[in-house]
Amino acid sequence: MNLLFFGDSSRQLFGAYHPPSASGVPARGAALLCPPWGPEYFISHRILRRLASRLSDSGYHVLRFDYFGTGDSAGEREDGDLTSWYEDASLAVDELKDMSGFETVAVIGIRLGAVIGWRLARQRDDVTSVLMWDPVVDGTQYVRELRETQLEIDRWSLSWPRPRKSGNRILDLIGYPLTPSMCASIEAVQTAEFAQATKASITVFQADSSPDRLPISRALRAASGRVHIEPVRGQMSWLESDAFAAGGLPFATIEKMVEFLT
Amino acid sequence: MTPLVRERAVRFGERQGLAGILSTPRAAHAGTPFVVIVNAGIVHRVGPNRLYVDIARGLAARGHIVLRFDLRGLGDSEALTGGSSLTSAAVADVKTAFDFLQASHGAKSFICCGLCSGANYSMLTAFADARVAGVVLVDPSVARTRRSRLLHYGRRLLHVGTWGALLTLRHPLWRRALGYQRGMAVAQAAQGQSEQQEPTQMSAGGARAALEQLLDRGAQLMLVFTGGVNQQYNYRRQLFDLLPGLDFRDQLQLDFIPDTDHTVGDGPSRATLVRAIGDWMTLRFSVNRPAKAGK
Repeated sequence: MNLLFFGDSSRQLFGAYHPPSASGVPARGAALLCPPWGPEYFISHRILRRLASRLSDSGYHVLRFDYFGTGDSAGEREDGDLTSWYEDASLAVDELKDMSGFETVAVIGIRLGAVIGWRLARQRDDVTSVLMWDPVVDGTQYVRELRETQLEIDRWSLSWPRPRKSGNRILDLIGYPLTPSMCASIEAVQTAEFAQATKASITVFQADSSPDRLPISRALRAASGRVHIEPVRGQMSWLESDAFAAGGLPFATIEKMVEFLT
Repeated sequence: MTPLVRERAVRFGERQGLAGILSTPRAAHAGTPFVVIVNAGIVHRVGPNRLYVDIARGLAARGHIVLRFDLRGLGDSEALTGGSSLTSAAVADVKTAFDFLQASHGAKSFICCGLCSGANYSMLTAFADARVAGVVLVDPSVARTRRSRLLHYGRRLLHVGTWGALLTLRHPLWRRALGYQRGMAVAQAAQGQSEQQEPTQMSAGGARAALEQLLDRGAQLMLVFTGGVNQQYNYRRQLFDLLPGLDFRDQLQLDFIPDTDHTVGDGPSRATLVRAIGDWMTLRFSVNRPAKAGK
């Protein structure tokens, strides 16, 4: 695994590149992993590292990366929104193609990262398959859930309640600032977005108990031919009220994904 | 990253198994200690809610060289193998980071910085390695005192959320009463046993003597307690009640920030914390620092 920075010097992005590690096996392809944002990012880091490692074992060139203003990339937590994170992911596709020598890329995204992966598949011909894991299907509902989680934390807190809105209208949600621009771009994600045609093959890994499963399945199938919905047993906890309770590794789901891509 | 700070990914240690990000200023202060930031819990080197990135860049912008890295088993470092305990492996890894900075940059002394378990590991490394010139400990493990217990349970009794949770059967007491937390109790007992073996609490038996040795060799301590651990630490001078008679001389800076959370997630509190650590570095480790006042 090579840790690196890429992109413009004023907007450096962090990446972790996993070259194929299987000896004697021809490289199968290139895969970009798009993480979720904010509080969900921390839960997913170990999962994405494991997934990258397993895909690399299976002969894939894999690039994990952090959006500007997140993780190890340059920028402040307040920088960026879903639109600029898409641009970062698009740059990462180019970087991965350059490093791997492959002309096409598969994208795997979690939560908001899945939305970014979907948009890449719709807008770039060189993204030929997308695997979305628990995609955010309704941005307004997603932001509402973040707020409710924060309110639940506040209800239990013995500290004096702090105003959640500061002068520049940034909401502090579960230790992460949500700017008006972030909020608007996330709330713009609606089910109808998934009812648009793409040539890419589409796979959705979604909790079998998720209320989003049916709406996204209907939307995708209305417009695209190659759609597979894979039910995942149980609900992954992408959002923990305690930032330290970064979840366990869902080995079976990760292996199923590797199986799908190989 | 600001224009004043450069960052690069580094690999070091046996088999290059440890991974980190080195933040360097355009112009580093000569002779000041290097800062090494230690993982909190299982969160990788960016720190909870990116706290460590903000601290590293804030300090580098003020002329300090800072390494935030992943202990074995975390983030992008190799897996932890063998039979050593998590604590001894963590201390060994931090020492490996010192060796790396010493060999690659000529570092002579270090500041260990961490939140929560990262604070505990920082303190234990300081006990074990004379190259540590100071520690920044945010919410380290400390025992409760009679006063802190009274304050905590008093506040809980007066807190409307407690009564709401009791009436709606969501309070942990109900789950405990129904035996749902048997697994948790077992885990807590196991944790208690491991803590007995290794003095990860500042006020534990062996820690007091080690702290005295640390102070004797002139190490500087910056301790920060947030409102996020107010069930454990909830009044400014609790540390002195836990360690009665311990002479901190002029080597302790104690900051108590009850209105922020454990990860110092809100922007204003975080900016204040980063600035306070930078000011402490300047005050305590500036080459032109006034001579120590003594006892």
